[in-house]
Amino acid sequence: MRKFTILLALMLFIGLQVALAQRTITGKVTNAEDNTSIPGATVLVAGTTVGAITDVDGRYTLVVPQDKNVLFISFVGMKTQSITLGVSNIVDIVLATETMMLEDVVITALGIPMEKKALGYSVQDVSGDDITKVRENNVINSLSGRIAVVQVTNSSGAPGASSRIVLRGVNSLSGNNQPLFVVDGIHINNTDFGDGGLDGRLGFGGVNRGSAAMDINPNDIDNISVLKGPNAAALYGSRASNGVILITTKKGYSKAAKTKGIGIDLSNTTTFESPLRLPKFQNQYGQGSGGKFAFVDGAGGGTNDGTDESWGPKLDIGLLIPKFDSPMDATGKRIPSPLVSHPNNVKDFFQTGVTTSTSLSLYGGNEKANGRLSYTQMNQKGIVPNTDYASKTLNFSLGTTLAEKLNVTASGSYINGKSINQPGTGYSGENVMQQFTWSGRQNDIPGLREYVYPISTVPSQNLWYPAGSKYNWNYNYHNNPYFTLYKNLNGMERNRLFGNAKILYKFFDDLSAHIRTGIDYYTNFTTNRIAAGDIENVFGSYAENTFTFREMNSDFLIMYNHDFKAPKIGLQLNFGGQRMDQYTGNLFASADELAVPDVFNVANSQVPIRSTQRHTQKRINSLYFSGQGSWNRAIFLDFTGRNDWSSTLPKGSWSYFYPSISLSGVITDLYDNKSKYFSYAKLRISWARVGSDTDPFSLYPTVSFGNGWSGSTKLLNQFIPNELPNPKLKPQFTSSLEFGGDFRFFKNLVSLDLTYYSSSTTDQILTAPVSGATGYNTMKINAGEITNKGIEAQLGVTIFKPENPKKFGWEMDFNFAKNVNKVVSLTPGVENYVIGTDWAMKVIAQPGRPFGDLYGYDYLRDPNGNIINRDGVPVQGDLKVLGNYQPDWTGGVSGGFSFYNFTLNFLVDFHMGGEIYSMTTTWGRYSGVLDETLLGRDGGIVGEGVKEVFDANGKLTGYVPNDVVVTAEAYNHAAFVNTIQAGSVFDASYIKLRELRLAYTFKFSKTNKELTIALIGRNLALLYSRVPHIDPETSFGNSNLQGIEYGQLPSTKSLGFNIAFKL
Amino acid sequence: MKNIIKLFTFAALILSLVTIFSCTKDFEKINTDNDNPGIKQAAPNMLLTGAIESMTNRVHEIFLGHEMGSCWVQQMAKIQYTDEDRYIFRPDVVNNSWRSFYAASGEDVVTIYNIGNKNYKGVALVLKCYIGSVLTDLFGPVPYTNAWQGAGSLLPSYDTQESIYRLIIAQLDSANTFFLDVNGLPIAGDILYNNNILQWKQLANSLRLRLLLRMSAKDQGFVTTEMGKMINDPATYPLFGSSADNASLAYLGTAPNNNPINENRKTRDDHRVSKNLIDLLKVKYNDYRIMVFANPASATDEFVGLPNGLLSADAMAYLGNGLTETSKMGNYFVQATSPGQLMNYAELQFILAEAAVKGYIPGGISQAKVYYDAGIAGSFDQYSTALQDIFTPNWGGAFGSLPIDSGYTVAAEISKQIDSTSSAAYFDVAASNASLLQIIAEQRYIANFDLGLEAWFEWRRTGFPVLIPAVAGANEGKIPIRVPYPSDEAATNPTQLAAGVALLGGADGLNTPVWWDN
Repeated sequence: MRKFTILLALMLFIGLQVALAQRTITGKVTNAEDNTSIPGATVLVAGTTVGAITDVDGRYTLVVPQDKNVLFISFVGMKTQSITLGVSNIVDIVLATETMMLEDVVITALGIPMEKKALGYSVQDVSGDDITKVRENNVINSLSGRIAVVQVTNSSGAPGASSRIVLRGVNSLSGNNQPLFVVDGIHINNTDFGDGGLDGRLGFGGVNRGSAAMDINPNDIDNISVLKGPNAAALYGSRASNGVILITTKKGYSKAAKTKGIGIDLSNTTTFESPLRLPKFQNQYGQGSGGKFAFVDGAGGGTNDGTDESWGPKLDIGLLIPKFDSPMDATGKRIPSPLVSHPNNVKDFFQTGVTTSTSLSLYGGNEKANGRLSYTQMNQKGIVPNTDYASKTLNFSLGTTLAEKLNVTASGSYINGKSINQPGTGYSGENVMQQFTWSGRQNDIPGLREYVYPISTVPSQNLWYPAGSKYNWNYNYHNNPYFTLYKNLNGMERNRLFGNAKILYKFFDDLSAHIRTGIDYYTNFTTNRIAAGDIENVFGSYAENTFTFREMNSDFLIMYNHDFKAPKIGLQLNFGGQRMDQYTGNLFASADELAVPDVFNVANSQVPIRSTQRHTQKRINSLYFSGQGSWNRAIFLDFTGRNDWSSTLPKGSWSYFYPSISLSGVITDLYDNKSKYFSYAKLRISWARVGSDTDPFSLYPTVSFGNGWSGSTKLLNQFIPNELPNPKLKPQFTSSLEFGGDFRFFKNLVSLDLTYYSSSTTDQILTAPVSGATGYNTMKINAGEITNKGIEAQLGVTIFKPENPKKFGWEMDFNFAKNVNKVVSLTPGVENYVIGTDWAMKVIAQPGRPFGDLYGYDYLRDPNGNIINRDGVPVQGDLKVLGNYQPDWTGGVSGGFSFYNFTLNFLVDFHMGGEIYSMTTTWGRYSGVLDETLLGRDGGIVGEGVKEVFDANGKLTGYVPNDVVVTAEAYNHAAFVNTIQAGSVFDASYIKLRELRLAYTFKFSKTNKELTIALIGRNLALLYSRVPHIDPETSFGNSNLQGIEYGQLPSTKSLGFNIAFKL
Repeated sequence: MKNIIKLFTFAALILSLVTIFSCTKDFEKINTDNDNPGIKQAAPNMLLTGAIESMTNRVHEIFLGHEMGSCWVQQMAKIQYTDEDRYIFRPDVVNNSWRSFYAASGEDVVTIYNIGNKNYKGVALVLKCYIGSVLTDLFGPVPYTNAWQGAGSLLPSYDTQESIYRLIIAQLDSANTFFLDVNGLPIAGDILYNNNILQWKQLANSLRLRLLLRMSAKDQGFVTTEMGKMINDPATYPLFGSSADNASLAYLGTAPNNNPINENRKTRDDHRVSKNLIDLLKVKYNDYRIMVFANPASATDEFVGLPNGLLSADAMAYLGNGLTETSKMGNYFVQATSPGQLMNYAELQFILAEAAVKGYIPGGISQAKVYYDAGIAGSFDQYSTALQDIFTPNWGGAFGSLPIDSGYTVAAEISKQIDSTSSAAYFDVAASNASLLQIIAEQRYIANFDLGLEAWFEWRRTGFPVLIPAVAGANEGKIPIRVPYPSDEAATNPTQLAAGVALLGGADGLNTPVWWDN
């Protein structure tokens, strides 16, 4: 019946045309790939409104006016063709799949797909395939080295740890400078869940709990577009000023995949992890001080047996000395035993980590309806004993055309992330790496696995060391590391739901509109247990922290899109609005001393329960428009404008507007002068501005509740918070100018993308430290300007293009980015902005310098810069800039080789310049555990530098080379301490072999079924580094406080395999 | 037509959406923090509880009070990680102390003054003066008149120590005036004096005498007038009447309201009693307060002090095994409820004794002796329970190396200490002023045990007791007489800091004397 209706309509249409006709053309439109007919394709006479639509068999009939002789044939997903009519009235047309086109379409702001060539700004994308080839659990890590200007910092090798990502440098002094994550058009929160120790700073201990972006399952990603600067992001609003990571999830149906029936993908990735780098320890001297050591009680009762340094006796020379694990006599006294080294005591402490990720997805559909359902389970066993992370992700996507012009889509994910124990970090006894820095080198660490004494067969020994009592090498400062890991558990569980539903209605061919609503909702629940008998809290403790986040975004968008055929002018106009409502809730409660040991209940507290509570809410309403005019599909002019109303700003400053404009031209399309060598050239320029608001409750002062004074009756106390709010805040703005070009040579075999940008963020809303004498430590202010100027380049070279799959193929990609960041000004009165402090090292921003200076104490130096030694050792000198954590440039080299069904891919990541302060070096030298401390153990050290010369009156007359001999212990104790930072600041440059993959694909002929087996490796080697002992890629979280390291949980290298079935 | 209707409907829909989206009606409500009271709901009693605890905690903080105070003035010494004892202090400690005094307790105190009744204002002023005096005695010139202005003055200027002293002296007089009616407007939340206004009034005046004496070398005339005015009018200017009036925070048995030293000792064993103090008590004064201040060394059961400022390795190897061969701080001071002293009656008596010897107040040497005796008695009175608790179980035996006779009493010990024999170790009315001043200074030093900062300030002024600089000290062989300004100030307030250093009149180091010490 339907067929008949169409036929009838067609006949009617044809009939009408006949009257004016000069020529009737008929033909069939087929698909080039499989020769099937294409129904519903449009055949249009150029320069007219005359056209036809093909019938179910792909046939059409069209009456062409006499003076016209060009037909345009188009169909969604196929390459539009133009055909000049010849003599024949039968014109069959073969349409090619728009594969090239698909590659060149990127999703831009508001989810509008755009031809890449029509964009006036830099966008780079990565396909889902690339990401899952060598699967990273945290999708952020996959971008490293793949996209120019993306700086990714893996924070540690701990399961479920966060990563930091920054695009085009740091814009904001006090924000975290993380880009906005958008999944299928809906904003996804990327809160850092780290629970810091002192002052919330992870450097002082705490647990890296990851950040929210890691919930995005790599297996469900179809494509990632990175919109780098504000130009690309102007429409996404405030949070996009640091760029946008735009993620499109997989759908049930795509033209590229062309599924028939139900498709099944099944894949498994299994990798095995080991530490990439461990500190280089010395193995010649054991625990103790001044060369002496004898264990009695591990707490000072013996000879230096309370100390956790390695300035003790020489190892492996036949000395017999009582140690913690020496056999004991009947009175519990340790019998001297050989003092031997255990060179692998730290290495052997780590276990092989195992990560498995299994994903199953079902998908199917057609133009009218499609669906996809996937389930992914990831289990991670850390390299640190008894640490883990596991996640389960259920993802769905549905799309259907309900009525002819009504399209409904929905997608969503449910994620459950869980860990029984995540390791402690930073300067804390809960960080097991700490006791490898403060330790006796001879100790057999794996021998501590049983952390309590068993019942001894010698009855009298049970009196001295009762079964169940603590067993360790030190009883002054450290827990047995296995006790820490098996008893003091840091658990977490996060349940998250995000998704959206969209209704799209097509009013006319050129006018459509959608309404959409999306939600991101999760509860992040963490617990911290300290078991009874802990060295720092004998009673044990328990804390729970629940963080709830909810954001709802609802928007509408009206889209008008019209191509005027005659002068070839295209016009696209969009108008939309959005309401964002965000809520956070946080409840923390802690029992600091448990009454009943090891019953982990906050109510089981023998001291007053400590608790904090915080709820925030914020709303942003927005209206926006965007448009594009094009001429000849070669010149494109884009413009956007957005007005936000944010509840976080003071009345009068609620509303702020920001525009963008860009122009681009495809030179090679303007003149038909495509040469053999020069295939494509495009130039673009754009300017944009993005406004930002601030955090909720930043305007007016409140009073906070303290812990109270809990005598017989509790006196509640209040205090004035240390941050001074500001009722006069204004929005901050980032403006950015960029221009660039996209060039291709030798029939697209070589492509080069170049961009220069310059951006400036002004009126920054920042929490500025102020003199404590004001009565406050910090204040919210609008101030300062930061600029970023940079270039990014991407070069792709196809060295061998295989004519067919059996030939050798070789492709290389190079990307390079250099960003020059400068703090132009701060507020009057704030001469240095302290980004953060860990130990005595400050990370600051100061005018005229790049963001992120490492500011600490140098050695005292003479006028020529030589270190001055007093009594043979260096002393504290000036407080000054010792480095900066931002790299000079970053880049990546990736390559792919193919031969028959083999493919080999690699990715090398460059991070050059910048400095890092490694506290591991400071304390490791102080404590004598590192390799460098062997210098001068026999015979002493004459410190590099000079010493002062005084005359008889005690007046300084000059300097002579230092010749005072001191012991290695005295020298390292003086030169590597908390009070002098200069000795442990290193060049942070590194080159890493990030990925390696060798794959073989079995193709089952005549079907789409295939099986791919791949050997994969990630983070395989540190090819170049100037920092000793640690992986220079390290941080305590995703905040701006970077460039500082202590007790790094080693990052991991992983090797494994991937098996993927397409059924 | 159908399309036109559709379009019209759509336009209406969009228009209503636009209206909703641009609405800012609830914005102020949305941006209101409902979890915390607004500043107008600040309660002076609740602020007072926190301010007293915060300030006392900071005065007794391990790194500041216990190490830069008690260790530098050699009441205590470090046996492990001896850097601080060798005058290598942690820059963060100075930053934290500065911020704590100003932004934590200081700002709360200023708020109490602004919102409270007259008695609250008096209490707030006393606390503000206490904080101000500690700050200026640590650093010299500091922001005071221009401090606590919030956004009103983001770069607070520094005042000379002289002007701060004169202002504090005047403010303590105002505080005394606020307390005119001690039974009038009630206060609450006072964990120092349990809301007893008379005792706050006594503290105001006692503290005033402490600071007057400290500045006495600079303006003897002014000090004589002010002290005389107070001593001659005890009704207007009541002072501590006994050790029951001590400004001393009774810490509670459990964290977080326990004594900071107790908290420290839960995880650390870095401190021993200084050899200087042990020798002073054992050799010079044969004083049984040693039993409260120190425990006998675990290896020998003797009271053995540790020399200050040894290298860690040397300290641990002292007498073989330093950890077991030297005396830890007495049990009384490491218990959770060990009081957090701010000023005690004994110190007041020694202030008066010195003032009398110097003629700032009437009565001469004989009156000085009366004050001195009261100081000795007051200090023993303060520790009478602790002493008796040690004596009783040890009767007939030896506690440490000290024999305890059955029936020995605190009273007998007091009379021993105040016995006016001709011994150079006791207050002999016939002795020279110089030797009397030394005895008074030493007794004040003993009475101010565990009040490390005060003991150190007074040592800087008087030079007594005679101290030998740290064995492996890092300060050109000198004991510090000042704390350098915090690096935070260099970062946030550098111009005013530079002006402050100029006012100091010397290098921003450990060895530049403050105004009263000049």
